[in-house]
Amino acid sequence: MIKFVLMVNKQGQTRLSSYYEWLTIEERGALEAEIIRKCLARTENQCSFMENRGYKVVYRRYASLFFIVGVDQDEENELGILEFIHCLVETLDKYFSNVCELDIMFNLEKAHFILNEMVQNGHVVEANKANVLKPITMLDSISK
Amino acid sequence: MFEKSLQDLIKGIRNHKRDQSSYISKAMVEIKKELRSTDKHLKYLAVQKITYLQMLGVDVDFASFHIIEVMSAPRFQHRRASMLAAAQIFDTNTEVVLLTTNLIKKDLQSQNMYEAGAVLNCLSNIATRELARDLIEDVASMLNSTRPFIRKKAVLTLYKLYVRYPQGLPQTFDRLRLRLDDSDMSVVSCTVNVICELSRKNPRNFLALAPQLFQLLTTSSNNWMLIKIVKLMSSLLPEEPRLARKLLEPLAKIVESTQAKSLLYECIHAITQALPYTARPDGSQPKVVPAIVSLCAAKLRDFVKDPDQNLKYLGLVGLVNLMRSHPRVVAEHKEMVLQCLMDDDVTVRMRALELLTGMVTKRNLIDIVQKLLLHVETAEGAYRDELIDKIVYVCSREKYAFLSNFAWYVSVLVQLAHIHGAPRGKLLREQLIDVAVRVPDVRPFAARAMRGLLLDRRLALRNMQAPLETEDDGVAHTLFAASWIACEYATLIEPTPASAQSSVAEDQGEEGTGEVASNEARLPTEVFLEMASAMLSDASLSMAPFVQAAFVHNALKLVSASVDAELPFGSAGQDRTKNFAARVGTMLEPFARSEHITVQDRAVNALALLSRLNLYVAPTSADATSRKVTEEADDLLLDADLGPSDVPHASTEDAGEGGAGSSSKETSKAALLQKLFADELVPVSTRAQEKVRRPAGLDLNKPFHFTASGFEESAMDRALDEQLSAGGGALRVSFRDPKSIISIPSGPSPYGMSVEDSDASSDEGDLMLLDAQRRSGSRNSKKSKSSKHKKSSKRDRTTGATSAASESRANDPFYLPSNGQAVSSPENDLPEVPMEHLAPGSLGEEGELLDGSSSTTLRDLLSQSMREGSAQASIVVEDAMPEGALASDDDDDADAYYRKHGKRKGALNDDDLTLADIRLMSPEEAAAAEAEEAARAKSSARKSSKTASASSSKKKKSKSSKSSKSRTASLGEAGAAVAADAAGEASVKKHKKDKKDKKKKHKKSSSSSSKHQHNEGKVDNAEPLLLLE
Repeated sequence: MIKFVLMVNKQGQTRLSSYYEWLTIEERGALEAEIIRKCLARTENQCSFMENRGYKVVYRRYASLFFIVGVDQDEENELGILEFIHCLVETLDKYFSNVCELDIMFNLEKAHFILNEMVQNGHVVEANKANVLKPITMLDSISK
Repeated sequence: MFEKSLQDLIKGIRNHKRDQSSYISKAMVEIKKELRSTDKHLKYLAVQKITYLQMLGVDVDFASFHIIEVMSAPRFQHRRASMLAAAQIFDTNTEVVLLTTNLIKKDLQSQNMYEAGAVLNCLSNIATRELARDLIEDVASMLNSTRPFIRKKAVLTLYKLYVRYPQGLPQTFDRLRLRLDDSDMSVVSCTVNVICELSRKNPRNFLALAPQLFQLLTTSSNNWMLIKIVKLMSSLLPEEPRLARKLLEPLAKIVESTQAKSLLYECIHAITQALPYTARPDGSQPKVVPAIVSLCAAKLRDFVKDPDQNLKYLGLVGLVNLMRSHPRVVAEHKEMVLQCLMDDDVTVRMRALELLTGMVTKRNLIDIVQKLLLHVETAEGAYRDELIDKIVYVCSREKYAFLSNFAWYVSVLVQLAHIHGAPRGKLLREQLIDVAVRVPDVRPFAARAMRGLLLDRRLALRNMQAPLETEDDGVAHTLFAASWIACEYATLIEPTPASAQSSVAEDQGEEGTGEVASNEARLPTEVFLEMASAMLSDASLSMAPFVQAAFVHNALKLVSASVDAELPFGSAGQDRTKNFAARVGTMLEPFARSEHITVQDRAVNALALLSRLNLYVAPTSADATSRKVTEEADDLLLDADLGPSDVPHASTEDAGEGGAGSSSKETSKAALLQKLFADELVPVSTRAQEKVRRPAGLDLNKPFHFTASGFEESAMDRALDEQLSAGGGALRVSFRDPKSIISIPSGPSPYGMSVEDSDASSDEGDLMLLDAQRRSGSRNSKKSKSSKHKKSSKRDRTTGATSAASESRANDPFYLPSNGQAVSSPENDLPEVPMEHLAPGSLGEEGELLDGSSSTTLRDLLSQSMREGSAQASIVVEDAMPEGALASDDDDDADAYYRKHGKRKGALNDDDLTLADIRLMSPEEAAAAEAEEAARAKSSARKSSKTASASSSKKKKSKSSKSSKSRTASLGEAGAAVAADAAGEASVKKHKKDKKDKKKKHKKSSSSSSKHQHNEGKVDNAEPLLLLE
């Protein structure tokens, strides 16, 4: 299962974090710092997988933002997770139209809702952009 | 208006880059105020901000209650925000979560599917055990919702509830498995996801689903789901090997046809998992296997060759998996894998390394290790450590099965020891010593190489720069091994043609050629002096204590070795030995003042021993008179003990040749020192003690003598003499405690008959202890196990001793032959080890020295010097003793703690149940279990109405009513245990886990609470029923 989803920028600032396995605030901070440090140390021509403390980290960089997903070691298809990250980014892109770091930062709640539609409880629920966005846009129209 | 939205907060934080924390704490004060206000909208904003701040790492636990407040807001927008906050912030210890039960219940029934969806999402994050227990029925009923959107979320939420409340699984699983036939593919996919996750915990529960899953596998085209099905199937494989054969072809079909790399990889992975299970009961393999294996190998090769790093990585991982069942197929790709070692990406390199180590065979070992060595030079960090580990691993695995040239291996280890920072020093140390002890033929080479290490100033310098930081790294370890090997086998250092030719007699070889070469090369004592001064230099004083102790101890060995080597040179040799010993003594002085107790102890002992043997006179002999007196006493003692017949052969020869007559006594004393280390170190298995039969009539608890001093002086000596002359005694002297010189009257006894509990022989202290034991100890139980039957004739076999030893060595599985090439290995393997060709000194006749009767004298000497040594040291020791060093009753504390807190392992209660313990059952088994449960309920009502608390019996009732409602599902063994109380249950689980220990555990739990005994007995009866299947 997916253990956490992070969006962290190049400066190491967390823009979104969602944990599906409970960690204390201190643990989260340490984990994020460690992972982003490792991600930044890697170059373009290195693979997108890292092994770290008993779980596997799959990450992908879009412009200034790292999308980082932590999964169980040997229990999740790495390429599938990469696919999921791409799908997530495409969905965000469709919703915010040309998504950028600031969109996620200032619309944290929306970003979370989108993520929640896609991942529940550490499992990918939905990978269809239209299906993911239907409830979000509908609720947007209601609350306006 | 001071309303501040999340956007304002974010902007504010960005504008206050300098003093973010103070800005945040100011904001927190505002937020707290807002949370307490009655304005719903303000509260909502505050909750939003809290969610954001929590992400930044601010502790917001205080807000839990307010979040729940907002959760009951009428506006869904507010509720949704608070649910998000709850999902992010709450943990299983958040107590207020319980307040949400009814809120969630209400929202679950909402007509708006998005509201219900949001609350399901929230529940799957915040579920606690109690929430799960109370809500699992509600969620399960949503599985039948008309909307797929709800159904799929309910399915996933259920998984979390199972994790929190495993007992819920049997109740609801039947409704969950129906979702595999759902009309909506995404619901099926989610169900597969959940079952996949569940089956990882306990695959047996889901074997029954295999046909259904197989159907999905062959018909579905949803790649996300296929991946999960393939995963699920491979997790079932260990439980049902027949599945493996059935899976092969459909998987291969997907491998051939699919475009999706992820699915392709997953299928290959599953095939590699299945391959070990494909053999039919008669041992034959299905016909398709070779074709499928080569298909997988080809696809994986494409992966590795792909420019995409991700695929390269996965290809290597896949090959590692494939290697487990088909190493040959993978070995074909050796060159390609070697290429990967040069990859930029350390993750890829690690995998390639793992793959390479699996490919090693006897033939390509040297080739591969040489390539790895090239990489070690440039590597760094964890990767370098891994490289070294792997090199050592491939060379030493299966008792050096792949290694044919030990000298080469020693030179590899030396090369590794020179790496900057000395990573894995401890590992190298263990390897070096192990090889030197196990492979007699490589000893001369190893000793020379180690001497090179000792003399290498660079190593010592590096040790100074980077003192021992971690347990496993550091030059200190290597120096320890170097000093031990070089000094233990110091007499082998001179390369002589004779020893190179015959792989047997190192000692005799030197004896034969010593005089010829003595004029050209340096004298052995000079070589020893060089080594000793390297070890005992001032630089060593700053090293780790254990290295210093080893240095001191081994320097003493060098003195002994020099006695050995100088023996044939007559009085000139003796003078050199004396000089050398005096030099060593001088160099030891600083160590005798060391702040480390072990170092000091050893140095003082060594000094006392040297001065006792008249080899060294302390510079500041304040107690000169007393010393003189004791010396005289010693001389008397020596004369008395060494009867004319016992004087070593070599010394009488010296006298006969016209050497100084007075030197006879000196030599005999020196010979005693020599004897201290003369014996070869013999391996002792850590379990050797168990194999020694205790002699009849020996009571280890009986005191030897009433007063320790009397014991030491009188009775001991006589008893010893008797035993030794009887020829069957085994004597141990311990350096640990000078007073504990204990003899064990025994028949022929192999090593291991030690009065010390030699538990950790890996400890360097113990290694030396072992040293001391075997040297000062039994002459008669010398050498090896195979020769122990010939004990009685030992005395006569003086000349044949060495050859017999090597013969017995050949029969001993511990020693490894070196295939003849080890010794003659070219020195150019080892450019950094300077090598001198030395005049080999010859040994005294060993047989004479091995005579048992003189042991008493030696022991006396030892014990006296010990006593004196410790007396000298005692003053300093008192200062050096850390505070509280004597108080050591820690062991009891732990027990007391557990007694107090009542939590030892195995004290499982209801809360500790995990998903893996839950057993789903078929209807028949469920019925049987139910009947069992009913019977138990009846009897427990009858017998133990006292013990069963009211609440637990209530629980029991509700359980049985539930299970009778749905006869298909029952709690199974673990579920039944819920009804019993905690102790009873613990025993059930124990029984299930290891039936072998049944009796033991039984005793344990019955002693823990006798009142549960009858309960437990019934569980025992239930066991076989439940374990059917």
